Amino acid sequence: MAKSQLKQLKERLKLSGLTGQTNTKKQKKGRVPAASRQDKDNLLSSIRDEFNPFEVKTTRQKHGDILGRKVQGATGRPGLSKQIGEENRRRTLQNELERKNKVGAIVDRRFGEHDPNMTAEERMLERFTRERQSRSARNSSLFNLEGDDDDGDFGGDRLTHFGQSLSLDDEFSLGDATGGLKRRGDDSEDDGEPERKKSKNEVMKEVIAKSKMYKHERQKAKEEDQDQIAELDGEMDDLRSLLFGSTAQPSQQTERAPAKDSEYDENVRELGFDRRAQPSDRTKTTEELAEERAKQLKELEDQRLRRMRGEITEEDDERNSRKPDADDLEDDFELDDAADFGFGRGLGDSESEEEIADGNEFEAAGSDESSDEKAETVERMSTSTNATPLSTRRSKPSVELSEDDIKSGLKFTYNCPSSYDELLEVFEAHGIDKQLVIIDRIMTLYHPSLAAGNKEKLMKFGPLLIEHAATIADDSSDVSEELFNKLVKKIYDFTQSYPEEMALGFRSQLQITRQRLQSAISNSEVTDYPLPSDMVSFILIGMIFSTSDYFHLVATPAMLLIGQHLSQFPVSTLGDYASSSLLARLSLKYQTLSKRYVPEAVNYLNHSIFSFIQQESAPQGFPLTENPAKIVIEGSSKGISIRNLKVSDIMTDTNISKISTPAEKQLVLSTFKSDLDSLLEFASLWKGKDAYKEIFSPSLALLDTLSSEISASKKRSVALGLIRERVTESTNQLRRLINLQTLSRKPLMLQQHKPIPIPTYAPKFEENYSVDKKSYDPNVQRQEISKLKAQVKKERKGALRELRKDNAFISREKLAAKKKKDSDYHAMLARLERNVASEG
Amino acid sequence: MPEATTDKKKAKRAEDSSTDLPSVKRARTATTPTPTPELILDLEKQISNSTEHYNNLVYLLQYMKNEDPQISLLSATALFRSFAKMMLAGLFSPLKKSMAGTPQETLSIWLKEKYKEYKSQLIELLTQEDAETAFTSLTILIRLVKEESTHLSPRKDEYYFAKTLLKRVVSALLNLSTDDLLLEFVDKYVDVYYDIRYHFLNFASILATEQIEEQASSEHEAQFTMNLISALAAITSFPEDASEIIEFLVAVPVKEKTPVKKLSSQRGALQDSWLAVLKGKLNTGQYKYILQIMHKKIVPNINKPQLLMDFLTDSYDAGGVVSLLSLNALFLLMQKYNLDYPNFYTKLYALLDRNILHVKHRSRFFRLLDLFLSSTHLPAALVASFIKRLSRLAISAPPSAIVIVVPFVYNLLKRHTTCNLLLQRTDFTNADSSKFGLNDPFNDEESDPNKTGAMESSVWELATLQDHYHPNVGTLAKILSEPFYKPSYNIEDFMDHSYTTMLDAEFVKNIRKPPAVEFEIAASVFTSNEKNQQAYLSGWEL
Repeated sequence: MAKSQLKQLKERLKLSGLTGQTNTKKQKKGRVPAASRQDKDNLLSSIRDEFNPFEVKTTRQKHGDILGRKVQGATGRPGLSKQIGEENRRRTLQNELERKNKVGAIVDRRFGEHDPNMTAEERMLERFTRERQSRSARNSSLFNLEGDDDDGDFGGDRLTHFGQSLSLDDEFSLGDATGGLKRRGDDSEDDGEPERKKSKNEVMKEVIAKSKMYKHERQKAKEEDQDQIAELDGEMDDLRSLLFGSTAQPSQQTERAPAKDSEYDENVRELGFDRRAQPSDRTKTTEELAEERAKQLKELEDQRLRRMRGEITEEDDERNSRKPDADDLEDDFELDDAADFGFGRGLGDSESEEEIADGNEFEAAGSDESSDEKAETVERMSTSTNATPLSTRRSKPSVELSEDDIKSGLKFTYNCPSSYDELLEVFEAHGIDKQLVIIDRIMTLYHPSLAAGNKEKLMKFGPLLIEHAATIADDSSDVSEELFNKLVKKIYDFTQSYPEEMALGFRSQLQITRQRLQSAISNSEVTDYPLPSDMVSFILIGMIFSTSDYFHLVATPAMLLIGQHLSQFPVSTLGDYASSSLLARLSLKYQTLSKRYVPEAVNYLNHSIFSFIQQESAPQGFPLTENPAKIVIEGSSKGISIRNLKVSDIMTDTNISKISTPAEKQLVLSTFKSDLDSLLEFASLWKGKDAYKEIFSPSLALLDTLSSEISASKKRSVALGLIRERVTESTNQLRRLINLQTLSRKPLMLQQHKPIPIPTYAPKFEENYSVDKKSYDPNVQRQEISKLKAQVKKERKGALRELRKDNAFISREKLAAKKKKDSDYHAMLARLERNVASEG
Repeated sequence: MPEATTDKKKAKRAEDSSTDLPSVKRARTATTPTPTPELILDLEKQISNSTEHYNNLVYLLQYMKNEDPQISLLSATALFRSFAKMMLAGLFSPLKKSMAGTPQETLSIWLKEKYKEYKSQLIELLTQEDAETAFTSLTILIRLVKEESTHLSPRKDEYYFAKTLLKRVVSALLNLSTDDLLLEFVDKYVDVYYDIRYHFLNFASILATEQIEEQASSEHEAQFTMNLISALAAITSFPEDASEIIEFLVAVPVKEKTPVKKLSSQRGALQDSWLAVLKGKLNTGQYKYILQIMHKKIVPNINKPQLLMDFLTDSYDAGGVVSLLSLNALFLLMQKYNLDYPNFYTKLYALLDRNILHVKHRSRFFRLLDLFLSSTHLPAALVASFIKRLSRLAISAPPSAIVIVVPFVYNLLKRHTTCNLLLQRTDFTNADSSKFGLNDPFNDEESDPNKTGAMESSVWELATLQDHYHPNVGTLAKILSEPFYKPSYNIEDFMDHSYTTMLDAEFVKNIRKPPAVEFEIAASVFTSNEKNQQAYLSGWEL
């Protein structure tokens, strides 16, 4: 139980010896001189303060007292601390305030004096180098023509006129009334230079400026003199006429002289303002050009490589980047796993169960009807946009050359066609060479820079050329390749200028091809596939677009379409065989740079070899239909040689099992040779693939069988005489390659990752919890940092508070001073008034 | 009826049988104009009015043969109403002994004869081309079955079902050349009325057995089997419990103990008919079709699915697509009916042949394969063999199949972590390169999945597919070299892809930024002259 306030006071007083018996014997004996009255007062006032409850301010704790915890700032004496602060300020701040503007001080401006980042040695070193530099600059740079004025302060001469600097960046001379500043070679302008030197510098400057001014004044005076002399000279003529009576012509030169002078001045001034002429680009040497070209090519190649690796993607999606967290409920059911990889929706569930198995189990026969319908709509769409149905395209009159009138057939201006019909109208019956001229003229006439809207017209015109190239391939074999190449070049140019429109054109071409391929797969009676135009569009895509891209808007669908052809299109005629061979070759071309794997091409090549083998059993490793088509060649192949294949060969409709004429034999053997070439090229392209052996060993086994069949049977040997060598050669080459590749194969190490930490879901408990502990960060460094941060924050707040209080104090003091001044003034006035009144 | 005496009646009957029409009637027919709907209704009204006009039945029967389907249908319905009324009046019920020799007996016999004729004509109408006629006559026939069952019971007030008539109908339907009417029958009656269902199934099995014994012409038999299969497949009512069997065409008294009401007999009937079908000759299409529906429609709805075991094991052993298709039902038997199939996984492994990734049913197969390999208790060597075999096959597969294989393998690896060795061989040192570098330790020829040595191998094939030409396939294959964060992939999402769907997905993509163009183009497209080596497509000409 605490004692009452009164009792406590009494006790305290007694303890301090202020109450009770003051003159006891003991005290008398000691005779310590009694504390002075002042001491007593002080003591008393302190005790009074101690017992004044209003002086103490307590902050009430929200949660009361926790286990005797001491909370900082829970109790305080605001009055006391305020007073202390006030006194402190009075001691320091007021002092300063009073001395303000009254007492001078020396500012230390030596270099690096206030830079805390420099050590004493560094400071000295820096000062030393500065000094040396300035000295050397003073000695050398004055007449140094080569010396570039990177350091403005040590810069050499400046262009002056009338003693004024003409340079714009001169911060001194512009505002200088004397205008006499010519050169500031002196180092005295340095920031860190002491005050004394600076003043000397100023003196020097003044001296210079004065001398300049005098010089200028002398010049002025001299000019005035000269003017007066000239004037006198001018009047001399009059005088002479008066004297001698002759009339001499007055000299105009002298009259104009001052005007000329000002003109000169102006010119000089202008020259001063003029920017220095820059040297123009000189003509580059061939080496430089080559280097530039190489650099550009390298850049393009780098870009291509990045596209090939898929680093630049069409859609930058972060869908896959997100790792599953603990909070995932695994209920994102609307997400399709397959859709994450960009596959479509698939067929859906409806169809999968209800398909009734029929004769041919292979997918090839079962291309779904729904997709046919879709393709049909696509076809309708594409024809409506192109306004050229397939039939009209095919029935286009063949291009004929009007031999007799070459020049007159061509106009100089043409309308830019916007549909294929219009294109045909423009081309009329011109041969392809004329057509190229017409295309050139249209491109010139409708150059985008010539008129608004030309660009749009050319955008429409470009895709028509694709269609035209396809049509040319379809219906004429007499087009020279040179001219066709030129047409391709034109299409390429267009594609470079308008890639999006041309890509759309190619895509619609692909759609048409796709629709016909699908109907050909589902129904073997359909014969309008493959056409040379299909092949041409595939070739053009391969040539024009960057097929090595990881994803490409035109090349990817084209490649898929080629894959579908190779795996599903049944080879029944020689034409089919040639077309598949061409597409296998094209898929090789598409992947030349990116070296991606095309299973369909290998399967096709295996089938191609297998069709020459009479034996029924096939080695494992590739799919096999129930009754694979066999190519039967009878008789000898004498008098036939391997020839280049032609795109028009794909229209040959002889069944592959009924080959009789030498021309057909030649075609089939040439195709087979082309296939063998493709196979070997693939084999060298895909070196380094992990499954190299698995990819090519079926082909090797097939080739082995074929060569053993050839060597075993005389008849076969004769029939296949043309390619016998090639087969043996290919077999050996392939075997060597496979052996080589298998040697370097290593087991897979695909999962070389850091082990995946098992996520923990246990709640975080602190074992040594303490109320006072601020942080439980196990990372010591981080903990230190956060501690420092907290400290900085605290200090900052404190400093702000102090500054605020300082300001308040200053304004208070100022106000008081002003009031005092005012009242003094009033008092003085009153006194004066009184004086006057009393005197008056 | 004008005739009153037996003699006259007899004479008339004789005439009837010879000419089908008594002279009086013929005279009248000659006078009557071509039948019109009004006339038919008139005649019907006369019949219902008095017994005198019973001869009208004869005309109506004749009109039923009319060319005009409307007339024939009208007369058929008119006749039906007349006969129904007569049945209700008891004219067809068996006569008492005392009635023998009376005009009533004569009348009854005559009427029964006409009725019989009427039924035959109706069944004849079933074969009509005209769908409406056929269907209406079917409706009438079923209603007749109902009328007969209620009124012509041999013993009074006892439950009776007119099986004979129904059997004739069923037989006629099954022998039709198309199955439209039959399917209609199944949909409207078999699926609805359990008594019809029961009897139909019974008759079907009887008729099928007869068909087999008869050795009828193969074409006809094929049609019959076809009809039967489609009818049986079309049945959708599969009672689970006896309490569900409540709907009958002919009301069954509560106390009656007829097999129609029993669940086991209903299921037995279905079983018998299917077994009868399976005993007969089936062509490949029918065989596959039955296998396809077996696990859904047959196995769960018959009494003893064990009876199908022989059929299924034979099918499973047949190889190829038939094996694939029988897998479903076989699995059901193993799972629910305790079928012990030795070397099941060996057989399953054998199903992974060179064409499996190319056939249409691959998604169906993969669903099952997923199920079979879902157990975590399978030996690692076996799972590894499956993984390795699948990856071997994937290297020659179309993109749509690779898309199934990759997540499938991922799931397998996730389930059987021991098999991670196929992706990450940690026990390999460079000294082993002579051992590993040369050949794949995996034995492709081995048929036992436990002995293929796949565990010592690596899935190089799948690693190669990371470089597939289709970007999405390549990306998908790359999941195998990334950390296995995802618990599993939903295989179902990857099942139903094809070139068509993939191309569709490609073609719907919009051009967002200009596609990259080759920065240099070959000087020429083809090689026609030898000197030109810069051609894009060497060895080809335009």
